[in-house]
Amino acid sequence: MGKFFLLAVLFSQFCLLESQAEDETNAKVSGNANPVLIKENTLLPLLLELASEEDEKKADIVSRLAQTGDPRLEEFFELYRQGSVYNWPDAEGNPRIVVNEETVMDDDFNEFAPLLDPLSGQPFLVAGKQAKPDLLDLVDISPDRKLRKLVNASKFLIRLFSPDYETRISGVKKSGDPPFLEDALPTLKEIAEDSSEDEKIRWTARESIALIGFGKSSSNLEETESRLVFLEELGELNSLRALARLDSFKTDISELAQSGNLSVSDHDGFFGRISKVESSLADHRDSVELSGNLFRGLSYGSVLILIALGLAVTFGLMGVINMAHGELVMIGAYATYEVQRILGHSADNAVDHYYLVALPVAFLASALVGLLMEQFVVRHLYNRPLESLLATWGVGYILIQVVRLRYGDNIGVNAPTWARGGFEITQDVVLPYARLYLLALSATCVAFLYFIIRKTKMGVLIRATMQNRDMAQSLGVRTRNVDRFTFAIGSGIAGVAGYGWTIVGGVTPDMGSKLFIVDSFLVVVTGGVGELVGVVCSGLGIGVLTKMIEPMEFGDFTIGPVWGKVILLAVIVAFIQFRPAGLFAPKGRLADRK
Amino acid sequence: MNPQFDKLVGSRRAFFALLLFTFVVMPVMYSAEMITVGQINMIGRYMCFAILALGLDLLWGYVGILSLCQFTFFCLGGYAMGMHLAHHGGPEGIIDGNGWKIPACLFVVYPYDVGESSGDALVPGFWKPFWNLPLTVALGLLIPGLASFVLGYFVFRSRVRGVYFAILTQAIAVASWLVFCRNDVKLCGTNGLVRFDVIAPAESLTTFNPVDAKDKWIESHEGSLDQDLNKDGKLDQLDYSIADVGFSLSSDEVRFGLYLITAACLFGAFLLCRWVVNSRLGRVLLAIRDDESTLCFFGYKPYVYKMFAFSLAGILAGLAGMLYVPQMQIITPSNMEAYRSLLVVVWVAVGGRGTLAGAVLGALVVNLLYNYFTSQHDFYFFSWNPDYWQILLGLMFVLVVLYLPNGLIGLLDKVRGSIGLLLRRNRS
Repeated sequence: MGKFFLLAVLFSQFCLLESQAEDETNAKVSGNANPVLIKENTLLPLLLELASEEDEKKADIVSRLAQTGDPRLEEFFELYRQGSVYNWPDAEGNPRIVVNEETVMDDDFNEFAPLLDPLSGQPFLVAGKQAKPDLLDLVDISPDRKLRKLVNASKFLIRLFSPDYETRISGVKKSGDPPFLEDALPTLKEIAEDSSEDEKIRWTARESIALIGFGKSSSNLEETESRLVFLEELGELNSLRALARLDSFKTDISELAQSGNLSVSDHDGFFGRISKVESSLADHRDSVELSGNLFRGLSYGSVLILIALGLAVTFGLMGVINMAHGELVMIGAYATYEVQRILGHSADNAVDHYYLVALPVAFLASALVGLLMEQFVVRHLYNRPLESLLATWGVGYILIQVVRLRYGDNIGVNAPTWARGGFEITQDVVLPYARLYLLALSATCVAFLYFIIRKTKMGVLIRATMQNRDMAQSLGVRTRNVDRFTFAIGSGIAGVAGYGWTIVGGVTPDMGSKLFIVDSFLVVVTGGVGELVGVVCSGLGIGVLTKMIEPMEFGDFTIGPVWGKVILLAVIVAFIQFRPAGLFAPKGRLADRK
Repeated sequence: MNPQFDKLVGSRRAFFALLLFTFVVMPVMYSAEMITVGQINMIGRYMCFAILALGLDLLWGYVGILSLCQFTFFCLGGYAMGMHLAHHGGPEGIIDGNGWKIPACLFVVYPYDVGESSGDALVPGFWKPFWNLPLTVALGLLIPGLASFVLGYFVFRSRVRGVYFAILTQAIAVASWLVFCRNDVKLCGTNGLVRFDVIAPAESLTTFNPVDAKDKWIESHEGSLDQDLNKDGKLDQLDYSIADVGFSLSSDEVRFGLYLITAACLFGAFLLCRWVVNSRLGRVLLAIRDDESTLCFFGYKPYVYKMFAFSLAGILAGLAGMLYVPQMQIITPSNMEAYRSLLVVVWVAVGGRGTLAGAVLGALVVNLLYNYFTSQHDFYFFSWNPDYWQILLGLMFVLVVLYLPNGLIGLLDKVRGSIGLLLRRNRS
């Protein structure tokens, strides 16, 4: 048992190494999480000038306000456009900008207006109480029609000036979607040429500029020509957003040709150029989808491997079918949930290190349950696989119900903040951090298990016991301890699988039996019993195959997850026809064992 | 190997006693109103499960192959009967372009294609054979039998056995459950088949589609407007579909009759299985369980016998499903979930694996326990929560596997043995 703890310590050391890298990412992300607010003393004087009478000046003020990029102004512009913003001059006649959305009436039918602060949205306080002047004291400063249009555009424009990168890039992206913001064009051009900005946002700005140009309506040859030039630029940019809008452009051209505004040769020439762009864009889309599916397959495969690893230990090495393996996965997930609860992590209050604490906790929790199971049930059933299948299923059933009685049917584990978002390797191919983490976790576990089985003395004892129990026993190996240790390791890895799953999926009491157990058994069976390398190959193979089959289309029939599973099963049955003992079948004397 | 008690049940005296109890005592108790028709119905349903368990016991107890998809075959039979009942169910639903009535349960979840409206919906082709009752019964046995035959051919021929077979069949159970849950296979999705009304209306015995049946019906009621049930002055399809009478599933007599039929089928299945295991064929099956390799060396082909047993179990499961649906009056894909098929294994294990009487006993006992323990009970010192049932079931499973490898039958055997020993001691 001493060795076991040593390994646990080693494992947690490894986690610490990982944690440093993660802390750095944390710092980077949390810097962006709170948008920078402009100081009020620069914003308020600008606001006050909205009380001015001159329209020209007001327009100037609105665009200067937009350029501050303060996120609070988005709400303000909306209120301003609706006409809820008033000037409430104080006793000396100095303007005060206030917001009033609804009025109250007293018994004498005098209307009073409870005021709100224009920026914070909180009650506008005068001497500690919300100001409620007579409605007649408020001066209406609502914008006229021309200004209203500008204000409306500014609501979106404001994001382009935001000091926060994420807000800015989403603003840049949105301005390329209908209704197109032509007012944004100068700013977008600035961003596109600003060498201090990063490559991604400049690219998006160029795309949005071209999309705005492409989105204009066209009624004659010149306008169509200019749209087409924009389209060709979009083609060079590999813009997927343009692909969806090609059809409407084609109908526009056809309509123009039908109404006689476009000659047949021009029409055909245009179509030739469009189809060139279309095919290059479609190629790009296909390659993006292919790599996306490949990655999804790898990530699904990594989940399968994580779960099947533990099974490979208990089933492959020990000859025990542990149907409660899925429930051990579930216990790992609930242990993660408990750690989150105790450390107080929630969506609003991020305590990211909970996720690192949870890794050893989940491992130990499942290993402990595994140990108890081994002691009271499995011990009696070595080498009676069918009976072990039934008894462990009973244990799993109990575990599910106990957890359900304690926690109810559904709980939420909030992923740590660094697991949100993704890493864009090439244009449009985004790898979510959570999935990448799962891949790494899975690889780590494989390495960890390989290390134990192949490189430690315990591993030698495990292999010796599994190959010839009697001989090992007579040479002085304490086979009972070896069994306990092996089962605990297998169970602990199941717990790690549950822990990993919490950042990508939901946690329910029956998640183990519903989601994983059958698939992961198939992985073990396909891979061949008792071979880690078999589990890795068949896990990745099944994962990638599943995600490749699912999006396939035949006419208007898409295969989808259900039929995908059926096809996969048929493939596995067919595969077993040729290799009944799996990919990596045990050879020689080992093959005769049941 | 077979415990003595199984032979006792197999003995003529005990068998006739059980026969007497089922067909005489129960009806008498029912007519004396000691038990309600609801309870009769419940026993009938559990007898269906007993038929299912018999099939699994034949497989697992005698051939040693553990199938974890028996409830899938059960549902194949059940859906066949369900489609028949849905065809003749109630006045809801609409008449499609070909004069077939789209059953209410299918109509509400019909997966329209793009641009299709409810007027374009047609009864799917594979529903049509189930309009006719004899054909339904034949198909309800044939489809699960064929499915298990084909599956068995591919799996046993490649010598998949033991645990691998169990896992594979469980995967099949999960996959078929997922498929049956989908609306676009036109089997009513997760709602399942419901809104049954009558069973075996007279014209479903002789005709093969509602158009012929309707013509026959209108012909026989020519001119008599008392059958004009919707009062529109003429006899038409709609009148016919309302008047489509048979044995109403909600009437007490029919429910009691279904119980009798189920009990007869259970005895029949029991006799069939006993005949199989006692024949020379049964010896080969036992030999497969005990030592397959040696059997191979004797020149037998084990896979042929395994396929036979698997198909027989599939057919029995289909029969059980067909009997179950009219009594339960609903069939949903939730019956196909993986844990359901494991439940069958629990029944057999609790009753006593490898004894036919044990399978029947286990199915009845576990289900009666289920019936008792899934309602609230207040005992002297604590109150029983229905949620505890799963824990009890799991515990029962573990304990039976660990301590009662021969199940209840084995336990009874031991008790009888020790009583006999005690008596003999007293005598001497």
